[in-house]
Amino acid sequence: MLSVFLATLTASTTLILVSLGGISSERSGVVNIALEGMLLFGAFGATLGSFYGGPVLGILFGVLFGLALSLIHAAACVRFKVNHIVSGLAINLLAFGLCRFLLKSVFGSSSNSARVPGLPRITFGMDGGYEFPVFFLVAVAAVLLFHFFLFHTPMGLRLSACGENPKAAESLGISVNRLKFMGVALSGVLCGLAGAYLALDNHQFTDGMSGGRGFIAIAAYIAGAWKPWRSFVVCLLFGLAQSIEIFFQTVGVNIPVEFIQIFPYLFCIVMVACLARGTRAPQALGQV
Amino acid sequence: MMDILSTLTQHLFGSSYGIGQVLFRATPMILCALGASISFRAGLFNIGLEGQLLVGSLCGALAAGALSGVSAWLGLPLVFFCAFLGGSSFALIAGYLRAKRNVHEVVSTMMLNFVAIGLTNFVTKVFAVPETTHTSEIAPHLWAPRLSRALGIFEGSAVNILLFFALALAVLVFYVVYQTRFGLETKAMGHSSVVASYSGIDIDKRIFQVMALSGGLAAWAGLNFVLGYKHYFEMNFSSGVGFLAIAISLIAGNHPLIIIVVSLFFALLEEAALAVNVHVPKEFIQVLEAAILMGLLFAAAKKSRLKTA
Amino acid sequence: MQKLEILKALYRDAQILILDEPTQVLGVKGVGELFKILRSLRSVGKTIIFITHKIPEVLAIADRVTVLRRGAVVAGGSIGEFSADTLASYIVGEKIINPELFKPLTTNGSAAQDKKTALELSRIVTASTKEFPMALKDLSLRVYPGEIVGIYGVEGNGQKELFNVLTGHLPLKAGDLILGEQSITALPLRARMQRGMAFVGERQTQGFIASLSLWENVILSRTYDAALVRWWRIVLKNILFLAERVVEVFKVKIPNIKEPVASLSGGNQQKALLGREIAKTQASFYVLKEPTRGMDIKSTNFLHDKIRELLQRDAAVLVISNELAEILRLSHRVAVIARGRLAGILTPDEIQLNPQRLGALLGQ
Repeated sequence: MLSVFLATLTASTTLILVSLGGISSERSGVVNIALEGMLLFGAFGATLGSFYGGPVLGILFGVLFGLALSLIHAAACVRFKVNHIVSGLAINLLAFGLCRFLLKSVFGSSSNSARVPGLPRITFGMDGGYEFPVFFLVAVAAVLLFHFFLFHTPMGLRLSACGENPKAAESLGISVNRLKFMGVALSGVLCGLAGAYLALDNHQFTDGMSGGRGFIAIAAYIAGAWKPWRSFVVCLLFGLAQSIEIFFQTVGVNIPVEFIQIFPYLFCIVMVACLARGTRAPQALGQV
Repeated sequence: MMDILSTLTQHLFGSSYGIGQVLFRATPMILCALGASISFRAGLFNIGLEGQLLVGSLCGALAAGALSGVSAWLGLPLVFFCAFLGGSSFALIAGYLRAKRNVHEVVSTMMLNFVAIGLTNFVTKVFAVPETTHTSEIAPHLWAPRLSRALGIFEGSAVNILLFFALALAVLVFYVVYQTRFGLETKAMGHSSVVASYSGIDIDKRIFQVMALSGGLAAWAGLNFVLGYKHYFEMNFSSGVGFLAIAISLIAGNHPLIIIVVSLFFALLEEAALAVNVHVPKEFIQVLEAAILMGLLFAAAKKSRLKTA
Repeated sequence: MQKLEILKALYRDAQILILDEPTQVLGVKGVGELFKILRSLRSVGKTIIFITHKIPEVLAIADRVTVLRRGAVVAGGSIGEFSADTLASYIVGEKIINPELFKPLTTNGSAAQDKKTALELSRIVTASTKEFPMALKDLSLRVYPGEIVGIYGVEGNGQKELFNVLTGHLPLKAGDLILGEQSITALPLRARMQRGMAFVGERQTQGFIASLSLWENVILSRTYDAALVRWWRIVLKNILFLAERVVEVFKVKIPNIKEPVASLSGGNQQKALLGREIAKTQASFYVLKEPTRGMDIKSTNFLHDKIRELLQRDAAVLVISNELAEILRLSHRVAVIARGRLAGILTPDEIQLNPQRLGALLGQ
């Protein structure tokens, strides 16, 4: 039971950070389905950074790599008025391609990188069998900060205004484009951070290691009505779904491994189908 | 550098094997991209083509196995039908979720991609030839005839009649998009589903039709491998053509005939990447493809900005 | 809502207030209140620029007036120098011979109410949702062939909901919709159109797809018409012919029908939108929501004439509008909508003779 709980926290950490990033971007009015790509690219950047300079450099690189992709998306959507979803798809393809190419060039493998130093761990229990994911606290702090920013600071409220009614916001003197850029850039930073955690916790980068988390996070904030705390809860649920494998292992039930693999994705679909009905997206989401 | 180029041109344009391989690679790209284009035109971002391809072609492979006693004239169309049914039904899951539960298809189709991998892996294991990751080989009379056998050209290449099938479908889709009620209404949907719904267009019906068609076309793309190359279904054989098709369709502006050109171009790039793999990792091609798409998006946007300015 | 905007501007110590068509969504009472506020702002030295196309308002509130036409100033001066007629003539650009132009026509004729009903709304009840917040309560109305019924009320009292009940976008909680003899409550929009209903809604969100060409938009609401669009073939010749006719009859200024609708001015788009629906010669029941919103006087009159022509083919017309002048000019009967109910039905004469009755109904 405890191991399932801890695994849930670990799995949710990435989802929470990515989900916050999605909220940040979409509340400013920019649809962002490139979260998956930014997550993956951030993960690779972190691996690279850690390889050359330890985990601290890894986190820094992760954030920078995620930010870089997000700036391209921001430029495309905000300045060049490209269809947001199309741009997101292109960024994802770019991210996947770059990761594969750089993985081959730098580490010489098509599937995984070299082992890199990870983050400091807190273990307890006998033989240190249990580990508490410290980064989960980072994710919780991020939710706290973001919630406060979004609902209790002028800038956060202006950000939401951009996504609800950009014309009205403009008429009040708000620099809508600048805030949209900021919203998207923040999503890049958060995804990069999440990717850094993903890679460093794994001590290596593997091809496609984002595993659809970028899209699961999207489902999370849709179900969470674009609100940080609600999305947090949904992310925990999704994290639990991903940890279900451990549960079945401990219980000793013999379910085909493929079913366990697809369970989180099915769970995600069901959750969105049930919860998405009542929620309302930012009014001006996707407007070019 | 120069000899890289010369080996490249020799292989790609000089040898009939090279040309054949380019065509072989282009065939599933065309089919998948046609599927993408139909859905993108309607404003539905079906990014689950990869999964629909897997599910559909597995259905085709299993059907071919079950129909091994049937003659090719009846069997092959039935195999195509089963594959189409598999792919379209899988896509319809996302279609239903979108129409009736307002679940955005980007999320649902992406999730279904992963579901498809697990599902097809599981089913393949059940039907697999022991010690392998693929199903049993399909009876030879149900193979898609290679052009090397049928027409005596492109010796050694796996290019098969599915190529002509794909080209014909592209023309058919072109006609459908520009000349039929379906094409007009889905185009309107893609521009503004709200106005379309107030114009009397049955949005839900069109969502179902569009998703079914794109899923079915993706399934047929997989048949290029299953019927035309390895003659069995192998786990995870698709190597991302479903995602590449998205890029192809976007670059082609969702135009069915331009899709043929872009597919040929990308197939050329991929074959070239393979040929020069010694000097430059073939993964570079994926970066190039994405960069081309990205560049075109910026360029097109810039052009329309100048127009409206 | 408007007060909120003004408050916001004042809070930032605004000295100059610029109001663009502020009375669009205000009723008679609201306009009075707004003017009271504006006058008090004027008295403390604030400057107000009031942009409107409604002449009575200009005469009521302005100290000075400037008339713009096609981007150029054509007249200006203190308000005392102008009368309704002179202002109108400057706006339209030609001498107004008929001073009755801005007074409602008193002889709208009367429809024979012993004829069969064209459309009946029977005890309509809807639930309040996020998209359609004003629940309709026990709403009943009969519309007869050959008459125009106006639905008048302050915006936000159920007009949007009523329109969407008629298109089928808002399902009924109770009640029935009967077209002719047949209940259409369960029918989708296309089936209703095929039975002779035609709709003109909000141009940008329900009428036209601005990025598509005019001819495509002309057939957008009649893709079921086999003369124009078969399932296997678009009959381009017939479609282009129809589009040209609409442009011709409705005097739509457009270089050619292949141009995207977005390139037309708002007024021309509106003309084309009404044109394509009126061109449906088989249509027998029209629902028009704000058909002349934001249009200049000349075009408004032109479209009003075209709407009246519908009566010649015995069609029935429901006009939903919050422009009282329009309602009075067009309607045989006026149904007042307030808080999701039809508070009462008056004739235009009754309203003019006794405006307080209207106010009373609106206030319910």
